[in-house]
Amino acid sequence: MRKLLIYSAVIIICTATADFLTGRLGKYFTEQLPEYGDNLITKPNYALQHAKADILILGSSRAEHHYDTRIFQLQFPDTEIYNAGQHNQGMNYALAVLKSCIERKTPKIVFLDCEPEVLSEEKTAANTTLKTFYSVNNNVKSVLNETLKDKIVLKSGFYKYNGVILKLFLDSRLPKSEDTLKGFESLKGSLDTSKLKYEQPEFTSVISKAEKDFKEIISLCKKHNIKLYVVISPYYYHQNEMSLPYVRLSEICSKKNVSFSDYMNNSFFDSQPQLFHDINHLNEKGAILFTYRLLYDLHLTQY
Amino acid sequence: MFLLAASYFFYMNWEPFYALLILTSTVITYVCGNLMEKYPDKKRILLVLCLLLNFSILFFFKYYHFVTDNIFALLSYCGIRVGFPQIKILLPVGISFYIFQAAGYSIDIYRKTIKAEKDFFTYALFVSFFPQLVAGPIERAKNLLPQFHSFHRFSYDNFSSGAKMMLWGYFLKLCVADRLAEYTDSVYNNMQMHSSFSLIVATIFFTFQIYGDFAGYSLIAKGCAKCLGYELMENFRRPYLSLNVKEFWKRWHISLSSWFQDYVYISLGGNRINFVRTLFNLLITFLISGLWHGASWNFVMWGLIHGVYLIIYNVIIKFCGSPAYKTKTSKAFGILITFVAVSFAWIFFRSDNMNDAIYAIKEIFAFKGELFTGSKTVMLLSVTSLCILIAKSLKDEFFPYGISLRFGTKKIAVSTKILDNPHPAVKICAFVLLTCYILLFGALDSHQFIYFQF
Repeated sequence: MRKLLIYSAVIIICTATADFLTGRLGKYFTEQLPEYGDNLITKPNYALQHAKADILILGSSRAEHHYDTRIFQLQFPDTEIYNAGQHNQGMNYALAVLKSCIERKTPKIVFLDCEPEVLSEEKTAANTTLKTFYSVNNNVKSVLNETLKDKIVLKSGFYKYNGVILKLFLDSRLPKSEDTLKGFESLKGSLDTSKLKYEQPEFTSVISKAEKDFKEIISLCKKHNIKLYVVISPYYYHQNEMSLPYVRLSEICSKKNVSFSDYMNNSFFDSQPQLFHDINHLNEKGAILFTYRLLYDLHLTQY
Repeated sequence: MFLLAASYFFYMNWEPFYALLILTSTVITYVCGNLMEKYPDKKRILLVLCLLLNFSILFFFKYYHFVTDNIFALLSYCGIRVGFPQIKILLPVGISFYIFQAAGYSIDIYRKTIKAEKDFFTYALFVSFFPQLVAGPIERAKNLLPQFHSFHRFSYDNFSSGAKMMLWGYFLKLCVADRLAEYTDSVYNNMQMHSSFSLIVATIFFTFQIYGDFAGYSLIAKGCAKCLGYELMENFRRPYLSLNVKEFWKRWHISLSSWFQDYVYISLGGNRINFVRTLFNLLITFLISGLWHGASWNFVMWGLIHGVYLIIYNVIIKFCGSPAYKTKTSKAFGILITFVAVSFAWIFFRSDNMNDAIYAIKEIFAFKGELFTGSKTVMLLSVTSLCILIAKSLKDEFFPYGISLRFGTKKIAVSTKILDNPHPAVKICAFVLLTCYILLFGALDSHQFIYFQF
């Protein structure tokens, strides 16, 4: 028994030390990241730590690939625009970015691109990009510190930098560059419908954390007098308009008097596979058309 | 009693209602087992009744939709319209494992290999012992039941060796299986977007993913039981270093393959009958094994392919004699051929249905397109973990105790044991490094164990 206690103590002390050192190292690398960037670490770093924009676009990869910032710039030549859409992120990511941006400069317009099931798929502390920035951004801290378990595990360096420490190190050595597309990333190629196979998953529940974050985005925008547009951009395949998360999303928008534009079963887009890169994402041509169409529909030719 | 309560609590955490299924299966096999012993002249009918009731539970929860859908399709093809009641059934976790364990117990009593357990609570613990309840190993009563009768005092050696098993199990699951899953899922879930080479890499990765996933779980279960002082059977023994498919099945999911060998293959006559019938028995056994894995034709096909591999192997042995594997090259060739054959069969296992599997095979043999690399960091982590796994497997297979190094005329024996190294400093360092590696590079946010669905 004594042997076990001694060995366990040595193992725990060594592991805890390694965890602490990893946390310090991870924080140092995060602080050394270049300002601009478009990969899975440097883009969130810019969005959370540096972005200032009059027009801010929030959402997942669908926001990143669907809202062509060049078209926005043509329509609004003297304004700062940033597309903060990030692959595989949910409502808590959008909230953290919005909070961080407001601290630097209050946007005038925010586009929040939602997937119809966004309220049923909130990313937890474990699977969001946000946890990497937990030590350097207080807004991330406030968004992620929901439960006692989150608060405890996010103290761990291993947990915060799980799977990304190597990438952080490599990215921290990247040269400075300029983001000419302002966060937008166009996709090439068009959809081959002959190989198409899709089974629509059923989303039946709404996660209260996602709903809470969504409502907080709305109230933040109201508080800072930001015009918020909630948009569901086009899909190639038909979406279920009766799913609970979608119904709740539209209900909240209508109740809170927020503009809600739904293109998910839009006959113009879903009949043209040449506008899509895959079933979930428009290609460059599709993104240009969609951005024009959205601005036209919302009568956004000027503020 | 405490372990029994803990086991039921563990299972009820997932779906409380389904604990009743384990209890039902336990009561049926317990009662039938004791009756078989009490009335030996009626034991055949009691066994049939016991198996029928047990497998009815399995059939309803696992195969109802598969069977009714196929009958419906067949009758519709013949122009007959018949409606089956549509019931929403949630597949109980681990149902195939505990039903098979309980069924094995009944057959053992019938064959008089063991005596029926008199204490109901001990028997209930045998069926529901939490480390191996949801994904095996499928234990044998003669191995596990006697252990429940003896008192287990805490022992450092048991705890230490159990902790090592669990740590390596977590490495296999989190660093190998779940990291590789990020690539295989992105390719197999969007096959139409990927090239032949991506599908080949994804298939090879899946071969290791399923090993890491299942062998990882088995080691965690075995390690957990070992910490408590119980010894579970070995479920995997470096299967991808098998020289042929027959050997593969002696090293892969040993508890299930030996179950099928003892209770299905041998019951059908095994190899005591003529050669053609033996081959037929093999095929039947593997078809059932495929169906055990999932209620879908792609699993049946997976079983069929392995059955055919074994038939081919047996025919070669019969007419050409056993391969000697005398040279290193012939051994390497045997390992490679087996690995390729097994990986090919995994395509059916990984695909969602037969159409997808056929599509994947067609795409693979088209040999065109560019290789999808995905996230370079994820790829690097996956390949690094895979290299560690392969290095350890080769070390365990070919240098299990140590190597001797020659310095001039001197020969020095060096231990290749890492987690079991006799030197405490090496052992502790290895333990800490592996723990840190798992926590820092393992996929902590993802996947359920693949075999939980069976």
